Amino acid sequence: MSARAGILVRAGGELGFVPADMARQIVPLPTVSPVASAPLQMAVVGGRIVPVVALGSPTGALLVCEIDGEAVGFTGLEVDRVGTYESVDGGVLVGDRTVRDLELSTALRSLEQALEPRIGESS
Amino acid sequence: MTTPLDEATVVAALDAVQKDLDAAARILESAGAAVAREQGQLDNVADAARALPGRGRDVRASLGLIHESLERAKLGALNAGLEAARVGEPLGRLVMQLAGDQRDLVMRALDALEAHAALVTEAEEERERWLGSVAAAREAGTAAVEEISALARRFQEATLSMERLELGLVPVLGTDPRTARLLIGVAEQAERLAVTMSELGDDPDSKERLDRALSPVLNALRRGRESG
Repeated sequence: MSARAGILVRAGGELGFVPADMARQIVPLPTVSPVASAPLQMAVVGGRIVPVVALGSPTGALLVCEIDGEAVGFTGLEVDRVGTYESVDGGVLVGDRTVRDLELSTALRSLEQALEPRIGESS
Repeated sequence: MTTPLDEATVVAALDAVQKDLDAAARILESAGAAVAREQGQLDNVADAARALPGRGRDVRASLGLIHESLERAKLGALNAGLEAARVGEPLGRLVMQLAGDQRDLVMRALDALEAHAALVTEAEEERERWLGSVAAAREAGTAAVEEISALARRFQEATLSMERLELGLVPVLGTDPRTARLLIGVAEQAERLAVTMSELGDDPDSKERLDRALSPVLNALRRGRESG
């Protein structure tokens, strides 16, 4: 039986799990600027510009994750706690309930797909 | 046809009424002063209540600062836990446990802070209700002062009416009420003289006692004669 370390976050009332090797840090929500004609936003975190994906109404914190070697910020998440949990298929076991992995990579990819035609149009 | 006794009775009644009027006027005066004092105290209370919003804002500002600091502390604890989770067993687990405890403490402080903020809001609402009551009490006090002033004016008018009544009684009674008052005095002194004379008997100091008893009667008669 393996264990996974990570954080439990609440997105739209639903509890989700983000593994510790993906979650880098949680910072107070900085100023988030919209990007013209794109569903993506931008913010400066620790002196670096990072793309920001909104997963719900903004809370007071920004979760910075590392996806494919790039820092990506996520808003609309409420960080519940950090811990090591028993691993189950597609998530972790918290108490006696299964908490699914939060599909942050999928969310980012769907945004990238939405951006592609626009990039094509402009070129 | 009135007798001197009738006149004396009327004058005595007039004097009694005048005395009652004077007493009532004094009571009114002290009631007015008491209401004015209450008004002053209400003003002080209202001033103190008006100063409270500023303090409420200060309390809210410091609560906001504490809240912000606790939120930062919570994020700090979560980040520490996250770093520990990446470190892995066995050191990471210990640090993660500590960070979890820290986060729980911060959450409790945040809950307490929320309760404090609710209390401040409640106190502010209470203050608003309080100010309303003070304003109502002040209005009632002002109305009472006005009524007391109106009553005092009535009493002044009644006193003047009494004076006019006394003057009006002169032709009716055939005697000036002042003379009637002197007659009452004479009658009282005469009564005392009669009592003294009946007690004299063989007392060696009788002449002196008689002089003492007669002196006020003679004085009263003299005053009666002088006033016509």
